[in-house]
Amino acid sequence: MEKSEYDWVCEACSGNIEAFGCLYKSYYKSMTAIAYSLAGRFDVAEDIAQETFAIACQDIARLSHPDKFAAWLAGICRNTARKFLRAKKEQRLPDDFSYFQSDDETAIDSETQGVVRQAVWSLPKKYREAVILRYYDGLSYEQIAKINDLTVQGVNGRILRAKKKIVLYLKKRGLHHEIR
Amino acid sequence: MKSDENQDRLDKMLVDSLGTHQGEPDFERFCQNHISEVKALKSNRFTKNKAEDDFWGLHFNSLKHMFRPIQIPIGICLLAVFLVIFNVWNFSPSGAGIAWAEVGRKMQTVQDVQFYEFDFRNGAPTDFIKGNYSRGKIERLNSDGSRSIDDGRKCVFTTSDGVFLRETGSEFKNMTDVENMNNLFEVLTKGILQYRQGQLDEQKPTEIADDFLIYHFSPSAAFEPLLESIFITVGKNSLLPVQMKLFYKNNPQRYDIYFFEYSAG
Repeated sequence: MEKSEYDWVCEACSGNIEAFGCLYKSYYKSMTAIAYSLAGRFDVAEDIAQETFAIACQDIARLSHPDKFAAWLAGICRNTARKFLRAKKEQRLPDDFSYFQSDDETAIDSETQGVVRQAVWSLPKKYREAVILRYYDGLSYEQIAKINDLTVQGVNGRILRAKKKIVLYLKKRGLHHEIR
Repeated sequence: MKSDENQDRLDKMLVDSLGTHQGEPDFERFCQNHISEVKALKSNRFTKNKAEDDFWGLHFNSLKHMFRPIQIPIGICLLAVFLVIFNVWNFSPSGAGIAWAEVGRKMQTVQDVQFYEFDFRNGAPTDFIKGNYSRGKIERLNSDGSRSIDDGRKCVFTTSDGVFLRETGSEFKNMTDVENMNNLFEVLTKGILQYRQGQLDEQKPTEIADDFLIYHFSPSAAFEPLLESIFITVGKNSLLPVQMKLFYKNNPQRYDIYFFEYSAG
């Protein structure tokens, strides 16, 4: 029988490094996405994600609720990102767009992409994180709910409100023709 | 319709603008770059929840791994019911004058005892045994899954699947005349205490707490070279041992703890 995430967490708590490796592979992208939503730079986000897993590796034995592993890990990630930002005193838009790749020929033009990114970065942190987890990491509402320790309805509400703010932002910048 | 189209259009704009994560997570590289953290995780195999300062936390964390989650609250409830029953039957206001002989007499009324043995080295548990005494037989489940059943005459060892491993004489055979031993605790403690030299019966508690009495004993002659001292905690009202702690000579970091639970009747 295939092991559940709960089993992996319990085994990792008991010192099984392979189990921790499975959790690492499951959540690495999501932690990078959370860090990216706060730090605004992909290379920094990767460093923060690494640091997050290093802390989790040391402290996982203290995790009292294995079923809340995702939310616990996300909490470590946010704190690590905040510490990083305090140290660097910076939070800015991504300056290395080479990470943003799309092979889709019908993709919107790069100027519009830039404005959409600005719109995303103008959102409050919790909305921005939900949008990035959904559209950058491609997580389902259920997965986002697990990471944020929210209900699916709660996530749905956050993303809906975020999208309304994005539409408003785009309209103010004259991109109302993009959203008919 | 228009609203749905707008939603799809906005979703696509967000996906195009934010892109997708490139590259796969490389756990091997993570392990190479975080050797001390990986070592710390691996060490959890033996020192999970370093709870040497939190004795009860350690006890319950161990139980969590020994039993299914539902069994722990049921066990606690049974224990609570048991204590309530003995509270009613055996009320004792002070406890200072209760000699160990009283505890021995109470033990004679007990037919079934579950016990859990934890071996500590440097403040961390290294091994545990779960056991059960019922009507003259002691059954042990070792941490490696093997079992043994000792009926006072012979001791049979089997694997976790019940496959016969070996048979030896009873662990109690050379201790004293087990046929005449009517104190269950004597059987359980396997001759650790000095039963036949009058040490036990007159012994009074050395510490008195609200709910517990603690008796301090010296080991029997057979165990004197090995053990430093023995502390047995007894429920003040039940007059039944709930915990026994054995300290080893020349090694203050090494001790064994036994917990006892009783089934009425």
